Amino acid sequence: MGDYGIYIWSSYAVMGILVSGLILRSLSRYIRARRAVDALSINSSDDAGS
Amino acid sequence: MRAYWAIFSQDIIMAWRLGNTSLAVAFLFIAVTLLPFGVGPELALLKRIAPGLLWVILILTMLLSLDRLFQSDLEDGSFDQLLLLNHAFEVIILTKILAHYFAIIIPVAIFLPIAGLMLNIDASALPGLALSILLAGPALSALGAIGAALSASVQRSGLLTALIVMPLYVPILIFGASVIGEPSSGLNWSSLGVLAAISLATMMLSPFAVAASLRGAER
Amino acid sequence: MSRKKIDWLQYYANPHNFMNLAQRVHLPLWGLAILALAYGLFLSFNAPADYQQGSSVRIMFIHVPAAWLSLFTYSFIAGASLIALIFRHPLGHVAARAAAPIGAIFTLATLITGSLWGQPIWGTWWVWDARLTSVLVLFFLYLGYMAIWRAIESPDQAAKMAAILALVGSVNVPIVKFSVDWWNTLHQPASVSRFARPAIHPDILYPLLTMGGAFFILFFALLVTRVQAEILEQRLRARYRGNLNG
Repeated sequence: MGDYGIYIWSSYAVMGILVSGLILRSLSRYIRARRAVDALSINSSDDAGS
Repeated sequence: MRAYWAIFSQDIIMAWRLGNTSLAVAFLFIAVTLLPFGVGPELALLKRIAPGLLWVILILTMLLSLDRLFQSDLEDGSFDQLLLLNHAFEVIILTKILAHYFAIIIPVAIFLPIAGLMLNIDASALPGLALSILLAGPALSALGAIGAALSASVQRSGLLTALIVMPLYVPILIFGASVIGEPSSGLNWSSLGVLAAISLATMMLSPFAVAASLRGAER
Repeated sequence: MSRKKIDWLQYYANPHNFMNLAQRVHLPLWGLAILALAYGLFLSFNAPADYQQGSSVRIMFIHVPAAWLSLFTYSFIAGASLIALIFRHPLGHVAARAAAPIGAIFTLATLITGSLWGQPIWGTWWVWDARLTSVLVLFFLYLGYMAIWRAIESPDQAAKMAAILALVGSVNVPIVKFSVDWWNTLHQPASVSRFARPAIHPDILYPLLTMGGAFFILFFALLVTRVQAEILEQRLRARYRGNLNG
């Protein structure tokens, strides 16, 4: 049957890298935006008109 | 009616003048020339891969020439004027698509078999090849117009257009290449039928998508 | 009944209202996602080895859910684009744009894990059968969709173009699937050895469904995060423009 270990391991590794990369990028973008908005204390009702 | 004819003939003349037609035909022969350098000049091999390969070259040619389809019109404001006309914008788009078919597809359909001979294709396959291109041509122009319209407002949008249009072309390529795929069994008439059907459907539907995109690009 | 649904849609068309909802569900969603993923991974590693494919079936526990999500995300994008175009719902465009990278990553993961699974089982990294080929075309659709957003300067224009592309593409996905299927029967009479799918044993089914559910929750967690980021960035841009104009 052969050794599947390397394939299983690398599959999970690739999936882990892709998904965690996506998660990190999304979260950091959000956190950065949130911090900037809070710092400028932009009133959240500003965008009610958009 | 005269307005449509004016648009139609004008587009064809412009395609010729701007060098779009020559570009398409030239690319055809460039690609065919490069091929033996890559896979070797062995005639038997070339004969086997020629039908499918010629179709791939056709698709690549289209992808290359599409981004120019609407750009000049958009830039000089022709679309603004066309939108003001009494005629339905969608029908104008259809006219332009047909003009593209006559300006680009038909010359390519004429020269592609010649290029095929350079690849040692079976001479008996040539009519089928030309027929497949002629039948699939409207679909290629119609779907290509969608891609061109979506990226019309972007400068140097060649890659974007190709990226958008490529998934749309895959089914056409599959059926087109299968028309003469089997050299021994003659033409694959069912594939030709599918191509014709796709062409009819896309010609009817794509002007709406194109018009919506171009109207969006006007703003 | 339908009026209630449209009111709900209109209520959340106001970004302010959406942000309130988003802020409340954000943390719970992520907590749930992490728990579900952890549980799913635990089940995956403890699942018994499949008699046919040995322990490589473990790859299926991430490959198949990724495939499910890649298709679901595209439907989501098409649906959100449709709602945005028809009802002029501003968040529809935002949601579609936010979902695209998620779908692209899942599609890429499907392709790569599929290759890594196929190599020991089939002996080849890639095979041009209907499923793989249409997933590859789907990946290009995602790339094109994201490229449009990036290429067009005006956000309104980009939104409209992207929506049109999403809808045109959604028609194309089944067409590609159908035509590639036919292509296989035309050009490959020697049948590509697809692995037979016997009825799935519950020992395998349970981790599979759990991972599927976990990915699903992850999708929504990521979506809520990204949509919030987009709305916040819009506010920043508006404020910046306001400052520029004095």
